[in-house]
Amino acid sequence: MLFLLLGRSALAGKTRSEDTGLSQADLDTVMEEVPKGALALSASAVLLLLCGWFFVYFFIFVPRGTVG
Amino acid sequence: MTSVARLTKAHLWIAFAAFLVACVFGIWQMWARSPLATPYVIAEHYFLSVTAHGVAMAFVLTTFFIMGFGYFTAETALDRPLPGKPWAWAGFFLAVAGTLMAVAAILSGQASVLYTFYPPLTGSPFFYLGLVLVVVGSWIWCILMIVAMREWKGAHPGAPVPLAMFATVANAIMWLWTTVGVAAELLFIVIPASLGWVDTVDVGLTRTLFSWTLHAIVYFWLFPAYIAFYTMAPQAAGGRLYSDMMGRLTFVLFLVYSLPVGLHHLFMDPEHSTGFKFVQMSLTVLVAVPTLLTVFTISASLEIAGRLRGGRGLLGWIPALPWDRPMVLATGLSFVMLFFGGGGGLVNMSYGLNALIHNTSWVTAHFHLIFGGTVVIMYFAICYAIWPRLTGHEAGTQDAQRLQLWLWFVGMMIMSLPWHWLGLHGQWRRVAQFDYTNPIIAAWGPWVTTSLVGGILLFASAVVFVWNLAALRADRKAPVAPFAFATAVHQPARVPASLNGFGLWNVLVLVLMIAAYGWPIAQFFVLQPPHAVVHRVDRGG
Amino acid sequence: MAVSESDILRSEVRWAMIVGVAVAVIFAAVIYTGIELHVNPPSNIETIDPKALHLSNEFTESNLGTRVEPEGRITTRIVATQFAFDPPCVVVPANEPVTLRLTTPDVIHGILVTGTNVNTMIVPGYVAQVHTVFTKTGDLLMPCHEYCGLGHSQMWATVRVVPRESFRPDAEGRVACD
Ligand code: HEM
Ligand SMILES: [Cu+2]
Ligand SMILES: [Cu+2]
Repeated sequence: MLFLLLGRSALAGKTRSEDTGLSQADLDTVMEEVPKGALALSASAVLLLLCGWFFVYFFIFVPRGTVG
Repeated sequence: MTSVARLTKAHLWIAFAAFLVACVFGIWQMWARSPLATPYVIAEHYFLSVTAHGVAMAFVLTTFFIMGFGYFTAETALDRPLPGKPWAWAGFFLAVAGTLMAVAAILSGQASVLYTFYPPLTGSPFFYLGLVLVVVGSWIWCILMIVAMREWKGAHPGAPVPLAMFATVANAIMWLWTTVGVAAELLFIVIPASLGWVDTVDVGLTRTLFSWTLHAIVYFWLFPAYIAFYTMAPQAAGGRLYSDMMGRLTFVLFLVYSLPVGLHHLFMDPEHSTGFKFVQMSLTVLVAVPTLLTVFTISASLEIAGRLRGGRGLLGWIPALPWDRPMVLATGLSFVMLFFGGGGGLVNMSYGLNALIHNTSWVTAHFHLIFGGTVVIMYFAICYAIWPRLTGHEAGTQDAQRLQLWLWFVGMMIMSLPWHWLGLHGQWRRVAQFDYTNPIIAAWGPWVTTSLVGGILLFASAVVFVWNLAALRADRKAPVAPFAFATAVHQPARVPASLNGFGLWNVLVLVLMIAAYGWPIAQFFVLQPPHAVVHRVDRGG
Repeated sequence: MAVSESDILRSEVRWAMIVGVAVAVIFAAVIYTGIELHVNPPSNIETIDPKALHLSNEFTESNLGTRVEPEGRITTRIVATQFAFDPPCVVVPANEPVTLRLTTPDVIHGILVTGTNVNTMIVPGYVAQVHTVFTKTGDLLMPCHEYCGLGHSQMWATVRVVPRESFRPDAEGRVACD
């Protein structure tokens, strides 16, 4: 959320033409880092989801009594 | 301008006309359910409204959008004219005629059975026949998509089908499988009942056939959003798709696993055993996999773009992304809604845990977030991306587009998060008015009013959206660059045959469907449960 | 050195394994609670003719409501009709196993009891059955949660959970609200 807001204001000045000159060398350079960030981002999302699920299960569902 | 421009625009205009009208109904429903005094609220109006809202959003908006976008994709991604264009128009008019029939039946109050039309409640035959025509129109689309891919493959032996088209055809094939359940229910049970040919129905069987359709239809709606994630967002962000192969795998997994899982909508039903509920819950867990693969692959694709733009560090690529571009912004917002909606979905699918939230506002919240949020915001972004190619006009500024996307996102969060809370406290679905003098219900009041504010923002966003499309006519007429789908880091020259067609996967779907639905359907013919008497909602009750 | 396609696929496989572990954890928790805590969806596939409920022994007018069965089990029987529950109020004891049995002579209904995990569809042709233990005392709301016609919004009942001491069956084992 915050990133989205920040990103927009910080980069609104940049123009489109910048990324037309995508060179193989540039791509090779960034690919040394990718997908570290994506892994960090998606792994934390999944971890949060798991925590949320267990929270609902053990703190809301189970205290309301068993059914079956 | 593409040669399918008129065809695509015709479909999209029907889709968004239905959408705008449905939003009016939606906002009035929110008002009626709130503690505030609301005009016109009587049960007849409320359930007419919910039927119209559900049908317009779930059947009309989606089907027309998907067909229109599919025609555009077939021509653009394959770079050759759409085969059988007259058939496409025939499908369009069939679906329009069906929509008009259904709308007439709904607005005359003869079909207030809601979009799920659970028998033995039965309405006017025009309603069901209208829906059948919409489905038949969409079948024509499916066949045209398959033919277009076949012909392209014939002309390009061994070449990988472009990912956007591969996904579109995966959706077409999935939709053919998906509609079998509801078509059987309508043709063999519901329509004969509504025509008065039979007086009783096997309710368990109708619910089971409907469930066959009910989960996969959601993925039918979702596909365009995923197509945009894979083939538009990386390009819009100025990067590359991380892996074309993962895209293919994801779409194949959707085809395979969306179907044999529908029984998870019947967890709380007495006509199925825990055994088959458990089997389908297990398969449902697998459906989470393609979505989680997508989250990673698309994040990695955006990471490429962000780093190319100078982003550093573990997460510095995120603020470096061009969030001012509508497609990139929509993708980000869509992922945030996917996070919350997906979290709710994990709760829904968890077998016994379903009892906590079944048929409460939690469910309404969940599908507004995923479907109205994650999916529909990508419909908006797709329109903004392809509209210049369809009209030859380029928007002077994208401020109004950004504003519209933000409004939709904020509105959706404000509307749906309180709904989750209310659902946990027992607020149930599909109710015209709550009795706020009851102390339990009175405590819900402030949350319901908060969610109404979200609904107002959504409505405002819907108006701005349609305005944005219409207003483009006045913008500058520019030579528009041909549409380009994203390319991958390693654009494949060859892919395994299994990921370039659907033969193998169709066999797998068949096997899984027999395993998952064989006995759950056959049991009704073996067990011969007692039927229920048809209850008409038309003919004065 | 440029990153190859197989490097990319390897990173995807690594991610898929993380995903696999995550879903396996949820899966294991569901299996555990199903087996150990007996948390299962209501699934008893028991048929009954909706056209002849009044002729069934179980769901006749006089047999509805809460009853302590001769062998000591507590059963609450409710018929859901367009647009009321019969009886509109039932009494159950707190902290004791209770079995709810519901059916309908007309269309699809469903129930939940606010603040509990009680939830089931009521499908014509079947008896819906839920075993549970109510832990909080007080009047709980039991709405019909599936659209069943124009009167759906007004269709609800009360579940009165009373402390064990106040749960006093009459000679036939019945307990009613008034
Ligand atoms: C202005 C935006 C919207 C508002 C204010 C709104 C409001 C509502 C409300 C209040 C209900 C609940 C009716 C009830 O349970 O009694 C509802 C149901 C529903 N909405 Fe929306 N909605 C909006 C947008 C959408 C969108 C974008 C979609 C999907 C594309 C959608 C799909 C549905 C569906 C499928 C139902 C279920 C109808 C049923 O229960 O039969 N809605 N909506
Ligand atoms: Cu589903
Ligand atoms: Cu009801």
